[in-house]
Formats: sequence, structure tokens, C-alpha cells
Amino acid sequence: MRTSLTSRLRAAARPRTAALTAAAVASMTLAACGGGSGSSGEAGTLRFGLSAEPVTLTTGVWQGSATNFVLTLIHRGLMTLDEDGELVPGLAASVDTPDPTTYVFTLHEGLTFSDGSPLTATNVKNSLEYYANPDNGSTLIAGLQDIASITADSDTQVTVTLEAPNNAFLEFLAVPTAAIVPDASLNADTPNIVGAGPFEIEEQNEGVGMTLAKFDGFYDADDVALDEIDVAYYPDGDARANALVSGDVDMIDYVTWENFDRVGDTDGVELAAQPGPFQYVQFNVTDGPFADPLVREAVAYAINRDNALTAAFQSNGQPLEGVVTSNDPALEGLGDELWTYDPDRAKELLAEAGYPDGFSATLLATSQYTFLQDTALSVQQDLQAVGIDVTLDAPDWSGRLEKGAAGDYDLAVSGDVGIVTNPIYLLSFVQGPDNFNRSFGYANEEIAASLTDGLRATDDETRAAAYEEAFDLFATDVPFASIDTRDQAWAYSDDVEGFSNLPGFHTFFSGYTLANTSIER
Amino acid sequence: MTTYVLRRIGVGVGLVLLVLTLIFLALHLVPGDPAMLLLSQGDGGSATPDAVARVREQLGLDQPLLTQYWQFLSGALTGDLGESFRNGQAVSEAIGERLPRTLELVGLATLIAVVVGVPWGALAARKGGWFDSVTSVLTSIGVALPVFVFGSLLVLLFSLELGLLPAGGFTEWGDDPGRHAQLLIMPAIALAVGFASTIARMTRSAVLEMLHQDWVRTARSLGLSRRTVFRKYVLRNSLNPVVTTVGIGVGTLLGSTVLVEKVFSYPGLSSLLVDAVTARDYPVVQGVVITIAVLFVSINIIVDVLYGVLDPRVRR
Amino acid sequence: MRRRLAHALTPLRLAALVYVGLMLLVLVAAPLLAPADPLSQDVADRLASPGGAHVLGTDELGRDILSRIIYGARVELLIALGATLVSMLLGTLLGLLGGYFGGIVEVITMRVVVDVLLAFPPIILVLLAVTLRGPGTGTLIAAMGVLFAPTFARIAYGQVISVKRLEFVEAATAFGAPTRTRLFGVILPNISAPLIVQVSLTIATAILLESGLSYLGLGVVPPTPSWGSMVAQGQRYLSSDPHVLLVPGAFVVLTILAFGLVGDALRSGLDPKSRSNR
Repeated sequence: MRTSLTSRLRAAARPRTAALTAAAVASMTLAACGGGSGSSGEAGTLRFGLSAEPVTLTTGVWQGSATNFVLTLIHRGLMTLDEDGELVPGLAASVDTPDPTTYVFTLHEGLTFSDGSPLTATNVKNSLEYYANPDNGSTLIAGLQDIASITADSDTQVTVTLEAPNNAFLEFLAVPTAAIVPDASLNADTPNIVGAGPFEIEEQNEGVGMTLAKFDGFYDADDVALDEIDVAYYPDGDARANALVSGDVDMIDYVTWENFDRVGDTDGVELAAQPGPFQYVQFNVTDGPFADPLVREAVAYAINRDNALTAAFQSNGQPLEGVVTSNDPALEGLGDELWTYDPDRAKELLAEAGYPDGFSATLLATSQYTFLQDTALSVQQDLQAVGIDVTLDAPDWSGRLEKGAAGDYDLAVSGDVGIVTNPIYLLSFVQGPDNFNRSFGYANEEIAASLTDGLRATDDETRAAAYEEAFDLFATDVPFASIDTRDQAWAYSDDVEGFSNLPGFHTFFSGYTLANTSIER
Repeated sequence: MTTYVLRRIGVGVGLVLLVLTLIFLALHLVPGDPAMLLLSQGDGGSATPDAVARVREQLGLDQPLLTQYWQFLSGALTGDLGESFRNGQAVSEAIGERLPRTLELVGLATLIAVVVGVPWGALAARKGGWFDSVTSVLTSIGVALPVFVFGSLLVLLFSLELGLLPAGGFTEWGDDPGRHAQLLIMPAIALAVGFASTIARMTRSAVLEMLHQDWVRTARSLGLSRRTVFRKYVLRNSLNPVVTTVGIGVGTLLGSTVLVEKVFSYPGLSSLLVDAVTARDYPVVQGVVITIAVLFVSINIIVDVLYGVLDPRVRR
Repeated sequence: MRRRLAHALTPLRLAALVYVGLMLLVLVAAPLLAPADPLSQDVADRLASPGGAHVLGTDELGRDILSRIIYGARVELLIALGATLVSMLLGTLLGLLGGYFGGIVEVITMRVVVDVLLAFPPIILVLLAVTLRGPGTGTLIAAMGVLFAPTFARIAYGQVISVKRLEFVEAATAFGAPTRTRLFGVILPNISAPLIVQVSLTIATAILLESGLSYLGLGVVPPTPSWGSMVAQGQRYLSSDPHVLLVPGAFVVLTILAFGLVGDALRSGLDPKSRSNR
């Protein structure tokens, strides 16, 4: 274990240095030929069209992708992600793992926050302890719950010991909400805007946008090429795409799927898509037909995934017949084919469960997100075909959340990502308190135990065996019925260099790579 | 006249209080928990019930309804509309920023609509024949064209094809007056098309009606020229229902620029309101509704006074 | 009377009348006329252009657009006519009473009910109704009916104020006609012209508002087809597959046009004051 993890880290860190050198050269070249700023924006300033206005940043709390984007710019954690989405040290210059439950982080020298105060090992300890406390609303609990102790050995060295091995621990530290922040930010009332990331917030204009300026105290500041990021909010997908295509902005996040072709075909514009979140059907298992695993399995076999993908995402994505394992080489071939599209099988299962003539049910969707609504329409038709008479319920998003959390539905369609790519993200679907996007009333301690075994495993074989067991149980107990993964795209002008859309669930953390992005006009 | 105006103002204040109470009650009847929404943005992650409860407490949502109402009312009366649940901005500040933008948009749209609509409708009524028929068809299309479709067509043509105007967004007048104006043109036109058509139709119908009044024939028989009768008497007397339409129309526009604001990413008051309802951001919803109610009442009083000026029969 | 009616029916208006008649026929006979099931999806054949197997093409889920137009006409007319009827009855009554009686009746009808309704931004009324009661045809009719009522009320009110002191009303009073007769027999016919014009405008506004609400996700519940939701959905394919937008859009425009023309015909045909027409 020790060798495998540390060597993986080192291997990941090596190409990054090379990339950074290249970026440094690029930025020098840029400086040499800079100055030719036209009417289309200043040199060194990236004009960014963001899909939503971030809410007030609350320390440690997962507040959605727009907020996470800002976090990736103004904050850093001990770990971060490189341009391939590989885990690399961030504020930590190096990480040592002498044994599977001990992590020694050595911080970069002379770190400071954007308010000028020094960032020390004590800040690291306090921040991590804050995130590990369930009362603080952090979504990192699954990763940090095993922490036994955190010791600040010196100003620049922190040792974390875990109660048990946890092979997702470091990945959790790379989540934007796991940033190291000043002690003053460690409460729910102080806006979480002071960080040690590559940029700092210079100006906020509510409803319009925000301006971020390069933060010179960032540990890698020499390699940050952008002087300024000018963020403007474009909540409407078409308006956002138009702003990029017409040259009003240099880059946008979240290209809506019907705009993929139009944006991608525009000269001078690049569309970068990566498979991201997954869509699925969740069940209310407290009573009625869906309390029966056979009926849930029938739903999983009834879904025509290709149709759903085409209907909601213009085929920009992949059908999902199992669970997302994020191309983890150790888990190759596991969990990716739990159910297929087989309406006859679905009918057999329904008959076996005692519903040969079907029944009726409500399907909760939302009017606010078209892709969820189109997915719901496609699922509705599939279920109709096997005899389940489905009525659609489409309240606004807030209503959807409330109904989902209260179990006021039979079936619901959802889209979700794991906070980490490690399959432990599945744990929250089979264990813990009910929430809006997991099957209501569902719990399966057996699956939870197998998933936890996988998390504790210190070698690939044990890990694979544990997850194989978990996925087998998944196939017949069906905590949710998967539909597809959707491509999540960012798009930018050809002038933008060095940005990379990170694969899988990490697509929403791609803002990390803006630290190494430059713009040439 | 003064007592009349004073009485109208008194009634107006009562009206605003009524609106304020209704919106407070309605909001708290609507399902959806602001605290939960703040912690669940839809693409992953879900807060624990404890965290939600803590946010509720922080927002003061755990207080009894009557206490909340009293706080809201006493705040509103002293001009303190609270703070946004979402970004902590003072609601009065948010409205102060956005109201001028919407007023500017609505003002320009109204100007375009009146300048185009009134002469067009009057001319159609007077000329008749093919001009009237064409007007009828064009105004019907103008009224029938969904504003978001027309807006998108404008963007498609002027921004994406011709590259003449920015596709949307907003710049402060102080930062860049030229761009500020550029960004205002398309939303204002999109908003004005339907309004101008409505005004043209109303003017046409009112003028037609006036033309058939007995006194018009009397005036003509007294030797006044057709032109004088039309300009001095018919048009002026026809404006009564037109003023009503414009008055109501401006009020309606104020609250319904949302589609235009959405298409052009224009950060005005309506989109603030709709987003706030979607996010169950109670203080912002309440603040915007009160502001629009106050505006409406003021416009209303002005229109009623204008009635008196234009049609002496109303004056008491 | 007959001559006036004949005179009011220009060929254009006649065509509009026929169109409205056809719409009403579609309302009743949709299942017989539609070539396909409006809900049946064929994703493989999505966004097909008009022509081919589907006369008006298919939408993003591969549903037959013609069939959705036919069934959508039902929903559309139900909402537009329902909302207009509700608002006309409610609004005219409020305006008539307020304008005629004045005093406390005027305060209650015109100041309290009408002004409070108008003082709310229209979008919030519908938003609240939809979030409270859930989206759907019934909610839309009720919310839009209430929303449009003030316009009728204010027009009726303004007109009543203008005519109630004219000789023919005074004469009716002098002859001892009961209040009800004076209100509905004498005043109402004399103020009906702008109200009738307003009916056609309201039908148009209702159809438009329905599409705007669908664009905001507050319209009818899918998969029920309505023209408004079809326009709103088609909006997303404006640059790639414009027919998904243009087909329902054309029907929206045509229908509003037809109702406007029928309104004009009614006005010049029925209004006792209008002695000729153009």
C-alpha cells in the first residue's frame, strides 16, 4: 500500500512539473509579445461567462457547481488536481505515507492567505477538524470521519493519523470545499472569501458578475499567467453560448447540449466535453410496489438508455447500465453491466413480483431543468411499455427538493455526481439520512459494509473483491436504476491555452486548471 | 382636485400594506424550504438535517410566523427590507441597483411603443382601406410574437450573423456609456414590439369610435376642416382609453420584463424576482413586490389625475 | 341589422371566422383528425424536417408535430378561452359596479380588489399560483383569469364614468328603469365596444403568456402538448431545426390574428354606435 500510493503520487507529480515549465515559457513569450490588446478585452484578462451567480460562500459546505468554480480559483487545499485530473499535492509540497493510516504533509514555505496573514500548520489542523465535525454541514464526512488525530509538528508540517486505512482520504482533500482557510472563516456566518488560491476576489457586483485578480502570495504564483478573470453571469444556456460565439466572453462553463454542435462548429471556438454526472431513477421504497426489489429491477431493465440519452442530451453522453467507476484500472469490468435494456425481462420480473397487469405510479421530475424533464418523458414511455402507468409530477426545483426529501413520490429522476471519483461516493445512496436525491426509505447495510471494505482495502485485489460483492448486491437490490452519464462541456476561444476539462465527476473542478491558463490576443 | 389626490395617496398607502401582508402570507404558504435549497444546489451532495436546521435558525425561519411578520413589517416601515438569503446583500441595495436598470429598459420600450403605436393606430383609423388591413395584420403579428422568440431572432441576426451588437449582458453607464447603450437597444425593441402593437390597436379602435360620434359631424358642419377636427378633437378625445392602456401596460411591463431579461441576460428587477421565488429568497421577493406595488400605486395616481385633465367629466 | 352584419364581414374576416370555426371543430374532433398519438416518441426519428412521413416533422423526442398541434389546439383554446371568459365576467362586473355606484362600492371593487391585483407584479401571481397549486391547465385558467380581470374592470369603469351622465342613461333613470336594466340593458351595450376589442386582445395575451410561462417552466405539465410549450421547447432548436419552433409559432400567430379579426367583425357588426365599418 505504502509503495503503491506514494509512487502513484510521485508519478502524477512528475509530468506536472514539465507542464508547468512549459506554461512558464508560454507566459514569458506572452509577456514578450504582449500589449496588443484590441477592443475585445485586455491582454492577461480572461472574460468568463458563468452559468449561475454563486451564493454567499459558506465554509465547508457544498453549494453547487458555480460556487465550487469560485472556490477552485480563490482557495486551495492540501491536495489538488492536475490537468489530467490526477491527484497532486497543492498547498502541501509533498505527502508521505509511512503506513496506511499515517499521512505527513509538508507545506510550501512562506504560504500566506489573500488577507496577508500567514498560513501555518495550525490553520491546516483547524480547518480539517472543522470539516470533520458533522455539525458543520460539511459533505466531506465520508472521507474525514476516520481521522484519529491531527498534529501540527512544526509551522510547515502536519501529521494526520486515521483510525483505519481509507484510500479515498487524499482525494477528499482535493475537493474545493476542503480548502485550508483562516481560523476566522471557520464558522457559518463569515463569507468564505479569504483563501490561498491563485486568485482573489477584487470586486463583486451582485447579479452582474465578479472580478478576480491574480494573488501574488499563491505558492505557484510565478506560473499563473492570467492577471485578471472577469466573470459575468449568464444563467440562460442559449445566452451563454451566444456570448461566447459572438466574442463577448472568452470562455463559458456548462454548454447546454442543444448548443454543442453550434458552439463546436464555430470557427475560433473550442468545445471540451467530458462524461460527467449520471442520471438515474430513484424509488420510494417505504410502501407500494417499489418496496419490492423485483419491481425495482424491472424498472432497471425497462429503461431504454439510448433513447433517454438522445432525448435529453442529443446523444452527448454514454448509456449507463451499472454504476460509474471512473475508469479506475483496479475495477475494470466491474459494475458496468448490471442491467440491460430488456422489456421482456422487465415484464417477467413484474409478473414474478405479482404485477402481471402493471400498476400506476407518479414520476417526480422538475420543470426547471429541461434535461431532467426530457429524461423523465423518455422513462415514462419505457415504463408505459412494460405496463407501469406513469403520471409526471414536475414542480419547480425547490418543490422537487421538498417532495424528494419528504418521500412524496413513487419514482423520481435525478442527476448526480460523486464528490469523489472513488466508488465510496455510492455509500450515501445506501446508508445515512434520507435526502432528496436518493431512494426514499432505502438502506442496505450489506452493500454499505462491502463498500466500506473497499474503502479500507490496502491492495487492489481486496479492493476489487469488495466492490464486486457490493455491485452484485446492487444488481438485485437496485438502490437506484441507472440511465446514462451526460457530457459536461466547457467552451473557450482559441486564444485560451492551458485550460483542461477534467474527466468524470471532476469536470466541475476544472477551474483548478485556470491557474495554468493563459490568453493570447 | 387636491383633496382627490390626497385621498388617492391615502388609499394607495393602504393598498401597499395589503399587498405586503398578502405576499408575506403567500410566500410562507408555498412549499419549499429556503434553507434546504441553499444547501442543495442540484448537482451532488446533500446536507444533513442538522445543517439545514442550523441554516433555518440563522435565517430566522425557526421563529413563529407572527414574529417573522412583525419583524418584516416593522423593518419595511423603516425602510429596512432585510438581507438576501442567497448572497447576503441588503435587499434595498439590490433593488436600488436593479430598479433603475428595469426602469431604463421599460422607459425606452414605452417611448418606442408610444411614438410608433399612437400615430400608427390613428393613421390606420383615418386612412382605412389597405393600410388599415395591413396594420391589423402587422399588429396582430406584433402582439402574437412571443417576446423570447423575437428576442432570440434579434440576437441571431444582429449579434451572431452581423456582429453589430453584443448578444447580451450589462455594463454600468459609468463604466462604458457606449456599451451600456448598445446592450439596451435589443431588449428595448423586443419589449416594445408587442406594446406598440397593443397601443396601435387601442388607438385605432378609439379613434374609429370617436369619428362616428355625432359631435364630429356637428363640428364638420360648423365649417371646421377635417384635419382640424381630427387633430384638435378626435385624437385628443380618443386618448382616454389609450392612456389607460399605456398606464396599465407600463405597470405590466415593470413586472414582466422577465422573459426579455432572461434572453438578454439583463440583470433587472424582474429576473431578480423570479430567481428569488425559485430560490425561496423571501426577503428579496417581499422587497421587490413592495417596490413594484409602490411604483404601481404612484403610476396609478398619475394616470387618474391625467384622466381628469383629458376628460373633464371625470373631475369632481 | 342583417345588412350591417353582411357589411361587417369582409373576406378577410370571413376567413378568420372560418379558421376559428375549424379550431372549434379540432377542439371536439382532435382524436379523429390527428394522424398519430401526440405522446408517442420515436427518438430514432427525432427532429425530422417537415415533408416525409411526418407532414409537419417531428420534435426533439420524435413526436409527430401535426398531431401535437391538433391536440395542442385543444389545450390552448381551453386555457385561452377559459382565462378570457373568467377575466371578462369578473372584470366587467367589478368595473360596472364600481363605476356605476361609486362611493364604498367603488372603493371595494376598484381600489381594493382591482388595484391590489394590479399592484402585484403579474409574474408573481402566476408564479405563486403555480408553486402553490402545481402547474396545470386549471391553475393556468384560474391564475390568468384573475390576472387579466383588472384590465376589463378598468376599461369598463372608465367607460361607465364617461357615459353614466349622458342623456340616454339619465333618460332611462327618468323613465324609472330598474337598476339592473340600466346597468346591463343600457350601459353595458354602450360600453361594450372597447371590451370586445379587449376580449380579442386578452385571448392573444393568454396564448402568449402561456408560451412565456412554458419558457420559464411554469406551463402545462408535460407530456401534454400545448402550443406555448411547443414554442418554448422549439426555442432551443432555433438555429439548428427551426421548424420545431416555426410550426407552432405560426399557429400561435394565425390564431391570435383570427381572433383579432373576429373581434373586429363583432365590434362593427354588433356595436350600435358603429354605423359603418372599414
